[in-house]
Amino acid sequence: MRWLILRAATAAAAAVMVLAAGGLFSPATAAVPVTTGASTTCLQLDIRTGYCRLGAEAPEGTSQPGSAGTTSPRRPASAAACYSDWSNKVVPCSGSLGSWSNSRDCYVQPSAANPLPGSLLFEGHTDGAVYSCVPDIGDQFQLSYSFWSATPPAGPDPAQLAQEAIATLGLQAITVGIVPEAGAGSVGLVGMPVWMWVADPTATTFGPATGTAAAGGVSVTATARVDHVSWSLGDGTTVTCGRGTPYTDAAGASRSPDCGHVYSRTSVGQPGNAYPVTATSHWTITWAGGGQTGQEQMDLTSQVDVQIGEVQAVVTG
Amino acid sequence: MLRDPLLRRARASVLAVLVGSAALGLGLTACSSTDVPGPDTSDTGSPAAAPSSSSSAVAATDEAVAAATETVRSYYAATDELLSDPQTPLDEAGRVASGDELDLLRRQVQEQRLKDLRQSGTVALTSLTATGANLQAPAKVTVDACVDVSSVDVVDASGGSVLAAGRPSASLVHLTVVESEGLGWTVTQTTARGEPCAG
Repeated sequence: MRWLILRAATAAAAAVMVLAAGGLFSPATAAVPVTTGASTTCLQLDIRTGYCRLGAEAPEGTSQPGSAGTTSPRRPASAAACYSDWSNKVVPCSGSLGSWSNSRDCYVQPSAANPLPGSLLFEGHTDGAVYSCVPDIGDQFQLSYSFWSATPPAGPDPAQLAQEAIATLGLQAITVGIVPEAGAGSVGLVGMPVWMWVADPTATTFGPATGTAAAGGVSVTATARVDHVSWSLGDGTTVTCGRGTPYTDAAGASRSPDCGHVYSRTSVGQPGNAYPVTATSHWTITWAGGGQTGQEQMDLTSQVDVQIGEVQAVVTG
Repeated sequence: MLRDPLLRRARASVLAVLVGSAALGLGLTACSSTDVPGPDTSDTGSPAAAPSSSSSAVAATDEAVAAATETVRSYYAATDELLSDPQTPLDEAGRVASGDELDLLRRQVQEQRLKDLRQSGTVALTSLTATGANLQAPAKVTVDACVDVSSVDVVDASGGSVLAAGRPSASLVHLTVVESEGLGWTVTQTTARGEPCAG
């Protein structure tokens, strides 16, 4: 849904609600009458089409929450930094068309026409500069325009750029290393050491990983590394480890020096007769740029199933 | 027409505004761009009757109202063009509108073009009535326009009309027109609530 811009003057009406209804001209959904009985009144009519462009207000002394249209944000609250209402999607915060402006819903950069003061595009001003505004869908519909601004339009928020930088890292959960090995073909034993470790660690599974995003002259670099790995063994035990030590045959029946466990019961009776073992890697991500710094946490989880049995002595004769 | 008591009262009010720096009261009517208020020498009988410098004040008001009403005509001509011809640059909107109205107009044209809708025909201004004037810089004139859209259609890509059922053939639109240095007179706000035109 597209939302129309509230006109400042009329937005002063407390009961104003913007009608969604698919924009200016959507006959099937936007057929908002100028007046609906005695309960609603159009505040801004498109005189050419006859559709109401701006909301309806409840009559005095009444309150009609949820009726006569509903309000909602123009973009999802969870949307990332740069969001286009034209295409209803997250867009890169920068590109050949300039830096994205959520307020103008377009990419902004100094006008290539480089108009001089006195030009219509200066809007009567003699200072500042003229910028172009081009929607993310390009200009095939002649949607771009120019505007004057006293100062360069604000670039993207470094915190928002940091999210882009983090997204470029492609962080992944670890590859689980465990003995006894996961899967149906391997069975560990009660009372025998279990070794856990991060198998084949890479920059994307354990860090450090570094990525950069830039827009509008602002560059933000994010660095991510795994702080620790939490192993939930499926029997109620949780062990916190670092990278861990890979098991080798030379280790025999010894315990892991830094990341291990010993089961005291078999996994018989568990779903699939196996313990679900989850390894949650806790990432710490720091970022800096645009005069700001920040830190974020991210958890990524892997899971394997481990079968644990027991040896029973059989006395004969 | 213009030479009516209402006009005389309005001019008396203008003079009061010019002296007292307040907003103007009611009703200067211009039936066409050339039919704007001229000097008024009649006796208004108003307590705010003009001092000796009233003629120049009235002339300034007449000039402002004439410029504003002409701007309103240009505004509707330009919006007709923008909504009819998708090749007309959006920057043309800046010739007739500024501020919030410019933002809103650009958005309206953008949305229509994106939906591949096109206007045919043009609006007709059947009356323009100046409802207020403040000549302190930036000079501002408010105008009520009766806009007849009976010859206007808006069609989609297949040529089908997308007009709302029961669209009023004429509506009253309240406009604010401001003169700013370097930009001249432009429309800064329009309000249309579907009110019928008077009379």
